[in-house]
Amino acid sequence: MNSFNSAESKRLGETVSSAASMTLFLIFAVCCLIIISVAATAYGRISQNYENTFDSTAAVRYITNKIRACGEAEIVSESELLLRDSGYSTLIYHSGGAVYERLFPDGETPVSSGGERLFGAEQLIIEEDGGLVRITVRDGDDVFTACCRAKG
Amino acid sequence: MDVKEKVRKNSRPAGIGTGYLSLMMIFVTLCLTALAALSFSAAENGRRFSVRSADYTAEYYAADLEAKRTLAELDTIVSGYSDYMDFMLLAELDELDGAEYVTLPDGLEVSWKTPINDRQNISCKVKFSADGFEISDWRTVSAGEIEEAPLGVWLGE
Amino acid sequence: MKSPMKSVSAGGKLNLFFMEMIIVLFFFSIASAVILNAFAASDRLSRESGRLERMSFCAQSAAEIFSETGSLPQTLEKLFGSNSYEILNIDLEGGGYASEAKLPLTEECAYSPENAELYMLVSVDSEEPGGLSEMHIIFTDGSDGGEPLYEIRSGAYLPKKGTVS
Repeated sequence: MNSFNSAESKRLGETVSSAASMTLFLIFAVCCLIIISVAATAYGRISQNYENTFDSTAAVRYITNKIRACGEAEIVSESELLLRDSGYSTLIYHSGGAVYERLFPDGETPVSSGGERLFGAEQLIIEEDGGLVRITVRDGDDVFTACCRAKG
Repeated sequence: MDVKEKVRKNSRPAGIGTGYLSLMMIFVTLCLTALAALSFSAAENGRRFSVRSADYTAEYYAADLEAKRTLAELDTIVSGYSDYMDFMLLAELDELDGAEYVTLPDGLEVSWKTPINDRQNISCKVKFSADGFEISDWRTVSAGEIEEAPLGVWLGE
Repeated sequence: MKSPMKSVSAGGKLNLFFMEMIIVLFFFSIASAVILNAFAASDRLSRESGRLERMSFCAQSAAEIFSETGSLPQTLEKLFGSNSYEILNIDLEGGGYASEAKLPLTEECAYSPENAELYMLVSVDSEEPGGLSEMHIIFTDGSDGGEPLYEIRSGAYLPKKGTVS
């Protein structure tokens, strides 16, 4: 009788220990999944931040450098800038969530379609501000603004 | 008691077998390492791009300042003369490094280049007249650029 | 005859499991610490590059406005609006003048509010009013003796009879 009880309690103890080890394993597995998802979210945030920052800053710098290198800059509308040079002109415009650029030979009327996609950007604002051109590009939460001397 | 019976007796639930935890840890660590490496790489690319852009901005304005120094120097020289064909004026302009001039009926046009870096220059062209000076060109150009080079624009023919 | 197959008892398996768990947790905590550092470094780099971009754009706008106006008060007013700065004017011994301003930069100009410890030091040296003026912009984190985070030099030449366009 005594030996029977001892065997039973031993079995019960082992079952409890097994359940405890299984629970520990499950907790470990769940923690691992949470850690992986947190890391993936962090990676997604950093990557998205990099893309947004890159697109908006590169767009502002590109337009600024184009203005510095052109002969004459004319603001056609809030999101269109025409850069004239000898023999051709370049239209930089915003359409459908991206900044585009298209070259036109002299004599052709510039139209804001069919250009080459440069950078993704939710908004492009080009405005004249007392002899300066103010360029603002927004992509996601990032908004970058820079001024550049107007020409022409 | 034979072997089969012994095994059956010991096959009670005894938790997780050894090795699974290690495998899981290796898998999770590899995943985390890959994500961390990708994050770091993206952030490092972004930083490198920002540093290069910021350095270029500093280089551009340093060159712009240098070009304005040259302009100030030219203005000081030219404002001392009323006749732009004066031999002394032209001799002084000749001494200015890199400056080229053209005498016009109503004034004098001086052009010069200031280097921004190895690849780019600021090309300046200023016209001096009795009313002062007027900047006719102040733009960045490639250091090795052939001016008036034809641009491959399709003319629709 | 003794069986060649070694049977492990349930208690032994449990002991092995717990031992493995301890070892795994030990190595995992070391690996996690390293990986967490890598993530923190990535985040820091990402913030730093964003801040550098904003400082660079802020300096560019200041330089462009200054080259048009040639005046520090007008530059700062156009860039930040009025009453956001205090300009210290200094008369130089050898003639000419200098002016300085130290601005704490906030969200709208330079960086996020949690990293508001960013200052823009702007100084202008000019031989005479209307001549060649040099502007020096330095961004610092406000700590004494700290390395400048970013700096540029720019200039304006606006003589009385000429214009720079």
